[in-house]
Amino acid sequence: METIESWFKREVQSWRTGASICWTVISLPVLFTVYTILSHFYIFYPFTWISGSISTVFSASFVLLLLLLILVIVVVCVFSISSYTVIPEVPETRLHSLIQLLTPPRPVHGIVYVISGAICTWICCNVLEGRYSHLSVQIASSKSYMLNEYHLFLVLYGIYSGFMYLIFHYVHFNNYLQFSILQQSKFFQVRGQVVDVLLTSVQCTLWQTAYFYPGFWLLGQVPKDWIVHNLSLLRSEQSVDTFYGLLDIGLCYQTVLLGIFLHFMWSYSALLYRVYSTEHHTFPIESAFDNTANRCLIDAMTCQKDNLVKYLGFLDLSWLSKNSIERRAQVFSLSQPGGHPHNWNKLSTSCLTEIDALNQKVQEENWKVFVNVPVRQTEKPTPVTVGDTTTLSHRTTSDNTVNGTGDSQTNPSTTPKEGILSYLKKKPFFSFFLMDSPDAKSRQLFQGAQLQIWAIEALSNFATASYTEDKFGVVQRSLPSTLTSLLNLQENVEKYFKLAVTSSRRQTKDSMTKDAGLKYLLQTTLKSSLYKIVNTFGKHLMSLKLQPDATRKLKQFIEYKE
Amino acid sequence: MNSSSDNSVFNTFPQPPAENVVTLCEQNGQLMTSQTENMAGSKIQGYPVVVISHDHHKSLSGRENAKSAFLPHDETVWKRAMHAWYEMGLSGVFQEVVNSSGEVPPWTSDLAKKTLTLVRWTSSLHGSLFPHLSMSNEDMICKFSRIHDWKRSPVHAFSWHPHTVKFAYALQDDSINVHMGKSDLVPVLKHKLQKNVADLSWQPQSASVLAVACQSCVLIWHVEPTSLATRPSTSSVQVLQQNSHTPVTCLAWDPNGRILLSSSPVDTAIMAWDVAMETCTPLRRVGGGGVSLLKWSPDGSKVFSATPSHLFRVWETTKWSCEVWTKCTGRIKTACWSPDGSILLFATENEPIIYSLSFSTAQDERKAVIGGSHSAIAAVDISEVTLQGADGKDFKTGGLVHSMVWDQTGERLAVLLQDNGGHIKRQIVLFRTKVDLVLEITPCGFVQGEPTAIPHHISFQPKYDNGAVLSVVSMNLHQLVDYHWQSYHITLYSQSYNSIGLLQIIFFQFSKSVNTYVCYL
Repeated sequence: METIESWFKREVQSWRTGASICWTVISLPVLFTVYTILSHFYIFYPFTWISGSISTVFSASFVLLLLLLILVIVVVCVFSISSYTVIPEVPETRLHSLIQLLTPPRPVHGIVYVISGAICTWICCNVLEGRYSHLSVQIASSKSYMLNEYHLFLVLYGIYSGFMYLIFHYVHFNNYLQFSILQQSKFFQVRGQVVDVLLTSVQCTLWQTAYFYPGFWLLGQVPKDWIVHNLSLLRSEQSVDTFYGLLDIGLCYQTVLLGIFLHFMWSYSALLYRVYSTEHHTFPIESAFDNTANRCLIDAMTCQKDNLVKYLGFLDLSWLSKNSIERRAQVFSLSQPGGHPHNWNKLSTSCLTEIDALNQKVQEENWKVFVNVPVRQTEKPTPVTVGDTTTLSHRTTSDNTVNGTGDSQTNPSTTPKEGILSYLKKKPFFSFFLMDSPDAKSRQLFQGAQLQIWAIEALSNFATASYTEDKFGVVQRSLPSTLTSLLNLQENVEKYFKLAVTSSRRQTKDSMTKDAGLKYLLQTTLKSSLYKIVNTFGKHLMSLKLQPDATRKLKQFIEYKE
Repeated sequence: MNSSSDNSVFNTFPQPPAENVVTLCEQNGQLMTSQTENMAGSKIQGYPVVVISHDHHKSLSGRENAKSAFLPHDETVWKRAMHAWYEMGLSGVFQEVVNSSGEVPPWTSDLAKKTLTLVRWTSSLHGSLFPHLSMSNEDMICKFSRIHDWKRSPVHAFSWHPHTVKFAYALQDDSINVHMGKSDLVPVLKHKLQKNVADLSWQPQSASVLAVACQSCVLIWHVEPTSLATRPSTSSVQVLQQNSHTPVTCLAWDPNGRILLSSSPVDTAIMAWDVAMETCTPLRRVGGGGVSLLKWSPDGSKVFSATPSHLFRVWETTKWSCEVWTKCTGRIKTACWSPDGSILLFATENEPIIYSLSFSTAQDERKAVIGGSHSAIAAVDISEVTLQGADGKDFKTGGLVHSMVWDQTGERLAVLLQDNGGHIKRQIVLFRTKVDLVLEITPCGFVQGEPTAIPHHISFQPKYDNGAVLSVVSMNLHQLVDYHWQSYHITLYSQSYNSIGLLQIIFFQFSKSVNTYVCYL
């Protein structure tokens, strides 16, 4: 029987991808026309500008170039599908992010972007006409050709843009599928974000252009010589890679405009892909037919091979627990015959497994911190109070820096490799690449926390809904285990925040990446989910049979002291 | 009696109370009153006694820009403009110049005013010019605030905690005091960005998170209930800032506590904040010139948003689509939801009528529906009438509505009336309501404070098991003398009564005296 991920890829994801590419293609003519009009801009001759750009837009060559452009962008879109991920990859150091860029299939994407940058620039140069259009120009006096440096400059810039976009895509988490807090319709999602995408494109382009200019000034001779030599062209009279050549305002305008066009085109297609892929998908809770029996919600939630399917499964669970009475009734129902709450058992077990797994990870991390400290301080470990958090955490980070991996707490003596590493870290050049980014550890710990956040929300919503909707007491029977799991995770996360999160939110705000808020979201969700249960059941919760520890913590919530 | 107000609901009201009595509570369907002198000793247990020391307070008269309190007076307007540039950018400079138009050449202030108008006008997507866009920030907050007479009110914002006995209020110096249960510990929240506080809102499903709508941003405070600090550290504050979304005048939390909506009268977009992630999603629709009022329905299914012009919207919260109602007679001044989210009551700026709008409760889960009825029905006519009070004196009442609150059981509706330029005393009117198949609104009575107290804000305590608690924030005028250059005491005291009945009333009353404080407790 077909597995859920291959079914999902064939029946859902392919349509979504197709639709996103389709919309990219549909918007491309508009985008290209806008680019053409802006690129023909003459400040002193507005009429020439408008008439010139209109005649260009309606010419046959424009249509042909547009078709070619569409072809290129479709190829780029298809190639970049595999780059998107629901779990952000957090590099520990800059060296790691470099290594990540060189692991397949990323170099392939890089090549695709670079080639597409070159071709798109060539297309744009043809639209620009005038001095940019061809690589070589005929010298009026003789029959020989000479190199057109303006064309060469732009094409090189296109290649450079492709490379820079690759870095933007991976290092700045453009490939991270983040699920929106509001399930708006796709049109409004795109409309809400498109201005931000454009502004980011402008910002990135200005930044990259500022580095391209000095680069070309220093190294521009190399590609020029190569082309002149290989195509046996003459050198041009005005060379661009001189100081005065680079001061050309017209060239600068065209460069920036081209950069914005390329960057926006790519990131717009990425935006569409993200919006389509993160759309909520409704999985059936149970299936009456054998051939679709493994396409239910629980199969999606336990899908190990495709994280996107798993995420969409949990998203759907969280969604239905909040919004759908009909589907909740299915979850609360008993099997016929037998009278077992199979649906609820499967779903809640799957949620609790995820939550407990994270709990385990956080607890281990906390223990590492606990164990790490006293070894350095004194010979025998002493209990550490939460009071001296600041000194504690400072020491922790420095430990991790020295150890590199942070797991050598049992072996305080350093190996030669670590010695070299710690030596290199003190050197300014290497330290740039080898320095740990400050919150990499905690980001790595919580990089997949979105899943647990949905699981927690779902469990809490189900518990709340069970107060009025659960006829057979299916959910309330498992309320103690739910509460125990949530309270344990809550305690460990709070402990983690006190022990290991060194920098406050305000200090890290400038360098805040898209995933850095996940740990705070997890913390808030845990609290609000527990409060939701407390607000629904009130003091009756105290009559549940829980561990004394859990009862004590629950009491804090009932008194609104958390 | 005026013939035009024959339909007024007040003709069927119980007799208004005499001038010198205070309404205590409702008992067996009757509003109980008492002479002012005999009130002591009958309080509801468990509510804090509130005393504010004088140094938290700023002069009531001649309130200027909050910045002027911190800067020496001899700074030139240009220097202040430069500070404004650092704080709020270019629009801050123009704002500063407009605010101190006396100190600059007239053409400069004129130019600045026009540029400010243009900047705001272009930032709002709507094509026609709205008069409110050229107002100064404070005038704008004053116009759209839930507090009556925001500039002169001692309290700039007030908010009950949704689950427990805890409330927060912002004073004129933009500090916020938080009272918890019977505890004597009163955390005072201050932050350099906390200026012109227009709204406060506690996060539901949480104990400690308070959102504050300020001039330039939304601040999120984490007021730890177990902490003993009276001045919580500003490092625990989250600053949510968005360009061209200032001043923020209204906040609304999702009942699950996950999403925070904020609105500004100059921005057509409502910002939906994911507070933990500090990201926001704009909900933008063209038309209206801004968003002046937000109300999330208690069941969480719908959001009401009013604009400064004659239209309002209702959003559903699964797919975030909206329906729009146009052709209102005026700007929506206030609105409230029934507990099940099926009925919306609202009142406009220029008509003494409470309208009701009903929504279908039929659930169709395949597609998101709002199901609002086509047009609103005039539910209550509250036009002005003159009645005879219990003491035989004339009792003028009725007029335009300032704010309206519905209690969580859906059985009582309290309405704060406007004073109509001072010729009617500002009053609170109480109605009984019943939401069955149709909405039924019947008169209950007048809620009267001390003769010299003027109410500024009314609200129901969101969680109260034995009926409902109406809280009234008012300023006591009988010692109001023009001593604004001297320091003085301001005391907020809760005056509430233990008696069995559906409705309990708490007066949070500000009185001020120069020498000693006269305690009423």
